[in-house]
Amino acid sequence: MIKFEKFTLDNGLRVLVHQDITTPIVAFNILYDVGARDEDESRTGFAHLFEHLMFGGSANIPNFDSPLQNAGGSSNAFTSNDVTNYYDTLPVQNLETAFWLESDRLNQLAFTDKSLEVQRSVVIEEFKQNYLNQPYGDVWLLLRPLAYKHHPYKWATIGKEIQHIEDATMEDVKTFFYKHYTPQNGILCVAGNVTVEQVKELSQKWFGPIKPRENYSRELPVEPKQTELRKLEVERDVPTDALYMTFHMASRMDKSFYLADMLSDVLSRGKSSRFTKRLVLEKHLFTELDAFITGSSDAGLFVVSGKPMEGVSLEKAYAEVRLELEILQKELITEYELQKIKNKMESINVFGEMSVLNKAMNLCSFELLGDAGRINQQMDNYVNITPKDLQEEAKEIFKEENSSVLFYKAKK
Amino acid sequence: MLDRVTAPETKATEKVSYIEPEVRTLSNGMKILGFNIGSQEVIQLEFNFHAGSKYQEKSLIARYVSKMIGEASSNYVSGEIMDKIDYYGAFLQSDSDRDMSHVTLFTIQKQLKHILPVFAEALLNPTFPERELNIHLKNGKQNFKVENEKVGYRCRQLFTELLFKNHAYGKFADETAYDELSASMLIDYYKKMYSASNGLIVVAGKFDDSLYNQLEKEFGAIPIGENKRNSQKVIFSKAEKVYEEKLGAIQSGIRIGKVLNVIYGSDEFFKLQIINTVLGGYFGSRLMSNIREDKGYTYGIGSAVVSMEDAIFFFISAEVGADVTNETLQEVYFELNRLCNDLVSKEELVMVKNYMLGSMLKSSDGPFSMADKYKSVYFKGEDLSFYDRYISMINKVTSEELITVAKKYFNPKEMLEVVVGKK
Repeated sequence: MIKFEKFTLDNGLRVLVHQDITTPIVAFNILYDVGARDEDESRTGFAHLFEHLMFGGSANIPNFDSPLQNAGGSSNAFTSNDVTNYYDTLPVQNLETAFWLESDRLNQLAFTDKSLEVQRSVVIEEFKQNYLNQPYGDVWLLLRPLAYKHHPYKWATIGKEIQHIEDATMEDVKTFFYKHYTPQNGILCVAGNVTVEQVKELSQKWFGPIKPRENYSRELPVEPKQTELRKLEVERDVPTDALYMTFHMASRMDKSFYLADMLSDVLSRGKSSRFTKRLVLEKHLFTELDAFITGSSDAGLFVVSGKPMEGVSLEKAYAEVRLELEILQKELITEYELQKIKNKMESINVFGEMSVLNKAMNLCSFELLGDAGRINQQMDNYVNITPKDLQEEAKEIFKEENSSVLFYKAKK
Repeated sequence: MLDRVTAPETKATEKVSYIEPEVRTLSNGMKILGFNIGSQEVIQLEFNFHAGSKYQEKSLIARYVSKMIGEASSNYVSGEIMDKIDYYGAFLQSDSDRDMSHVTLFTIQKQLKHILPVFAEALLNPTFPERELNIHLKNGKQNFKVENEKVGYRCRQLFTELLFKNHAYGKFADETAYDELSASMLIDYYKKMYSASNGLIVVAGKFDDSLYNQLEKEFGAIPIGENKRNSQKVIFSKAEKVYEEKLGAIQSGIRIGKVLNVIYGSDEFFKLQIINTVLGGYFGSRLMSNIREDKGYTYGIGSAVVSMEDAIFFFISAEVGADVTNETLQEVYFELNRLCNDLVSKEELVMVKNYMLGSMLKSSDGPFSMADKYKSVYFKGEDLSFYDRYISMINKVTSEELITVAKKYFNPKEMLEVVVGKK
């Protein structure tokens, strides 16, 4: 059970406080409701590039990191298709430094040409390092546009292509900032040995004076139902073939989200999961085989990814995975298997409560979904799931016409 | 009007609390360090053995012994142990580095009584079935081929081979090594190395005293064996520049460094940690500020001082755009020279000190981190006074003292340089 309190400033900033007296470290996490899905299709990669620029100095503070490091803290951030999340951890006595820094960059960024120029290069190197200069690095650049034809999930957070990042102008940066970085669009959580009063006072002092900006309402195209199997085959200079499959599934707020999540656990959570046990260890058709969900806010993907054993064709590998999925459609999973998944989830939940930063991040994510209190109801969503529910869900999402398949072949 | 220009006042971290473990001994002589300091209902139970890769006679033995723990045992067929571990929501993690092998169980407290006997069976009676081993080896070989395509991985391997030319630390498995391992080699290694005299139990989290009795019941039967720990001194060969071209690479992996002949826990050792932080040990470091935040040549660059049982070494590493590989090298040497020739400014030194103290506070937060901190000094013959001396050095060190040590250890001419990619 994670206890927290919530209040909202007049400018719309939502603030959560979680008290944990056992740690000398305080976590300051601020999430902005903006991600790659909010980008223009001709300017992708922008939300993430922007995350880098947020460290390039603000109106009154030329460098974000130095004062934080001086206070014994450190900071980082991540961007997803849905959100941009910034976090600082520091010794609790210096909490105010985080308020000072974070409020100034929400108030107004410095917008220097130097920072834009350098961060463009840094992000391009990041693009190369993680997506181009790695075996299989470009998989998501291929899979997303295969699975999504309309919804902006069709491009990756890093962007569609390097050119979009090269083309970013200061004008774009400013427009993006004022549109998405508003107090109404932010959720702050402070977790550590703090009191609600203390956080209220600091929030009021540093974030209170920031004027609300125009409300942004998101209107994204809905991905139409997929009606036929999509296939893509590519050849790359990699040591071994790889298989990727995606299936459309529900959005984060839908009840069946939890069913798909659980199905992915049945298939590949732990070494005793079906994929590992049967296809990797018993039949030895794959060297690795995983199932996971993207977990996105809008309708997401159930993903299967694997590397077939040398000598096993992608066609054979595909057929074997299909077989496992069909077993889930035809046969009920056993009560034992179900209990195993539930026990594992309970453990993961408890381990997840060990760090204040983790708790602060999760509280913000759940608040974004409508209510931070959901953090304590997570297990309830799974407890009552029955084998029958899972079978129905498997019948629905594992239809072949709901899937996209990528054969990633090694150049001989 | 709110003053947004002046930073709020800050206070440096003065004290980091490190906690002494409870020390117990099983009837077979195996020592237990217990950190009963958690607030969450979780337990980490770790078995450490002096059985890292430096002791193996053939590549991969140490790694596959630890990897195969949990696979099958005298009383459980393949898959049964993992099934039980998953069923009780526990996690089994095993790995092996140059010096040590570790097998660790993570569990929530309420499942401990169910899972402990299973874990004991996995650890005490493993059978290393040939069929499963072959599957793991084939998988390992394929993974190796994938990893080897990455400039970062290849660069790290080549660098380590050259740095430790005459020591087991410099030996790596090649592709053929995966074809040459047999179950009997693993069994021999396991019998010789996984003994009470050659290991240490570390338990951390929230538990009551009865845990020690349970540990005696389940693990008191680990054979006594003998202590296999030994050291072989590393002789650093020579500074050289090595370039391995990789066709089609759009980035290059860079690694620069050397073995440091310094005593672990000595004044100079702590000073080296501080200089390293200035150079490349945090986000605001000189390498990051210059090569990423000013020039944009890389997504990330950093440096570290790594302490192993037989050697302490220093390295800088980065993956950089192929077209700016030479420019990056030039800047790295510029920064090394600057470190040896110019005093660190007072302002920068204060920032580094504050940052280091804050990060020491963070890295010892929670029972698992505390246990890790203790363990890392314990195996090198130190106790918690190591951290007191470290913190006091951070507080008192001057720029003058740092430059003396920089000159002695960070001479750019003495560095080994490895580049894999394209320049």
